[in-house]
Amino acid sequence: MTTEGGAPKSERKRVNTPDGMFIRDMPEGTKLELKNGDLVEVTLNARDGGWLVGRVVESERPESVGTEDWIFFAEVAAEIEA
Amino acid sequence: MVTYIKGRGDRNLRDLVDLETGVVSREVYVNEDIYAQELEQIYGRAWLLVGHESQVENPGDFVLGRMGEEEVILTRDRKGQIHVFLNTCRHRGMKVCRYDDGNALVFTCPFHAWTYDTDGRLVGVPHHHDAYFDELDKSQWGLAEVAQMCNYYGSIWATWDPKAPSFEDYLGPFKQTVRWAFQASDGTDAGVELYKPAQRWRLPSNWKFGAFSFAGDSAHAAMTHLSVNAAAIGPQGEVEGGGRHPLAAPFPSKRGYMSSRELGHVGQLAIYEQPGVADYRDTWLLEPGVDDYWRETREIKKQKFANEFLHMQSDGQFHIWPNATMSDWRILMWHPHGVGMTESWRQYQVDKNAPKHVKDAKRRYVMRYCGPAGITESDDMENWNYAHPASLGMVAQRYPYNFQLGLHHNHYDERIPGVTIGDRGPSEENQRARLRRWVEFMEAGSWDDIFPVRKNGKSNGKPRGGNGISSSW
Amino acid sequence: MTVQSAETAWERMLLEREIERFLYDEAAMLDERRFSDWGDLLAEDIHYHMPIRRNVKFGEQHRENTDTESEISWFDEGKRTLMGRVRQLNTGVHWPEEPFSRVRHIITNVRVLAVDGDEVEVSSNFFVWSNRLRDECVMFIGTRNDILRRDSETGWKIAKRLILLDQNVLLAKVFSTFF
Ligand code: FES
Ligand SMILES: [Fe+2]
Repeated sequence: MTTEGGAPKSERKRVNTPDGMFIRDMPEGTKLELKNGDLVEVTLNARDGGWLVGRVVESERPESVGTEDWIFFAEVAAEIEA
Repeated sequence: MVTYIKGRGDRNLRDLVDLETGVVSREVYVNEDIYAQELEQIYGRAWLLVGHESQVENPGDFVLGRMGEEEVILTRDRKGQIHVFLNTCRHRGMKVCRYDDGNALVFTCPFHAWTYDTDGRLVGVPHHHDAYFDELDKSQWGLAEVAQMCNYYGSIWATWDPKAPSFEDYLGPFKQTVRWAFQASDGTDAGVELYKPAQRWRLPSNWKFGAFSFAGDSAHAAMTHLSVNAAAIGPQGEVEGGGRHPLAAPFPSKRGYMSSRELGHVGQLAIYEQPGVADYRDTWLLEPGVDDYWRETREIKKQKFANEFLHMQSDGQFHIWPNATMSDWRILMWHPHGVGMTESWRQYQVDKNAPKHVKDAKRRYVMRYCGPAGITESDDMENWNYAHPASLGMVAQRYPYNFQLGLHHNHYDERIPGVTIGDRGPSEENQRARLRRWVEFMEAGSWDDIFPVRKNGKSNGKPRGGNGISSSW
Repeated sequence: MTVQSAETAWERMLLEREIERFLYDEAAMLDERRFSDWGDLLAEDIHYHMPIRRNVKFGEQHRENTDTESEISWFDEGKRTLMGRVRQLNTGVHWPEEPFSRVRHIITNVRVLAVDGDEVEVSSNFFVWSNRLRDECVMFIGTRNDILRRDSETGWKIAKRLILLDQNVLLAKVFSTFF
């Protein structure tokens, strides 16, 4: 596991699960766990309920750490307590 | 390409438009097949006015516009570049933007959530990895963008045709006139902004009633606007009979109906007998302090252009092919919306740097003059509206419209090359020039057939000037 | 619900009846084309404002109606211009109303929202129907927020009227009546 700060995956505290999760007003800086296991930090929110931009903080694929990409809300597994 | 009208036997368009005699079939305005061809032949090809950069000042700003029947998004991307996109999702066609204006990071389709950056790139597709298996090439499925766009002194024009000539060439002898329409009152280029938002409303009539029949139709004003002076809507109030236009100082000039027969742009403009700019005449008598501003800026403009002949400057009204009517204070757009419906838009320029009380005074004036609540324009709407149904009948269509006012009485003037002028009373020459260009566009297979000028004319590749009367094909 | 004395409840009811009657009489003046009488109901300092209604993103509802400070509206004017419109309608050559259309103002949902000295704030809904020439039909539906001012000598005057028409692209060719 490649880590850029934050707790190891097993110790992440999941505070919000995808059922009924509503990303529209989620502030930048929020940490999210994706369904593929990545931990990302929200860097931009389109505030349309569908999409936000996240920077990968932890990932099984080391090359993706630090990259930013668009994330669809259905890819989010949980919000992680800061 | 020869264009036939389906529906009532095959006839050539030229059977319907006889400019030698000034007689034009009503079918040109009411036939549905002709209308369908117009959308493709004219609106798919011509440069169209979309909006103004002041509507999208900041990165992410957007405003909806129209090109022909179709809705477009005028937007400024995060790098500051202006774009014009068709407002439709590439997946299944949903409108990607349903807000009239605003600021956006992306345009997200509410149907299946494809999302597009403000530069048009498709940046997000749900299930791209797990169900499209990363095989969908997002770079091929961005928003449909116009083929060419031009920011002309702040005004934004666009065309769907990659072969269209440059916008300046398209304007030909009217390029200064359009430039001046976006000059501040002190003569600074690109010195205006538009009041927000556009007034938009539906007028049950063919789009050409506004865009063609209004093109130099000063003959309508006396009767159509008979009631307007009762309301004294001009900035001067009741002074001098309560006219609807601001008072202006005289300046030696010859006003006339000017048209580019080759390009279809026309205007009611002036040739000046001396260089320079007219004195300012106080006219905002009901609004304290407003004349002070205009007087000061006029002084600056007078100095700037003291030695220049401002022939065809935009103090009159002019019409850029096919559907933009403009002057230095208002922009009238005539968007086709079905053969018998026009979506009419009004927007108004004002000096970017004018103080608030000046902007307010002018804003109140345009609102009482123009648009569906306009004390002047509401009279036009009734006439354009009912000319349409009264032209639909089987018998009515046997009787062509008469466009003979001033026929064969235009001439050339070497001071305004490429433009003919009719200067002896009202004339419908401008409307005939629009109809001439209309036939050319409707027949053309591509831009090669209609620019620089029509192939079957005696063109040398430049808009024709010279003297003499010519109205033959 | 605050407890009111019978007297205040009675006074409030009377006021509401009086205001309703005023609004219905006003509507009748317009429908009966007594435009000059209608003009007499306008306070000298009236502000008559019909904004353009925008489609805006959730959270931006404050931008939904164009403002009178810097933006373009359908109507945004005072008595001088309104009286000009009255004179225009009375010329007999104002073509969108010559011949006159059959206009009916249905005024409903009248609510007195506040009373402040001689001024009351009133909200009402309207359904304006216009039938023109043979078969032209136009409907305008919306709501109004008025400040009405009591003039001890001449009765109620309209001091402020905000008209929210429930349309975006206007589906009528003109506004040739008042709201
Ligand atoms: S139509 Fe837009 S995502 Fe399907
Ligand atoms: Fe007119």
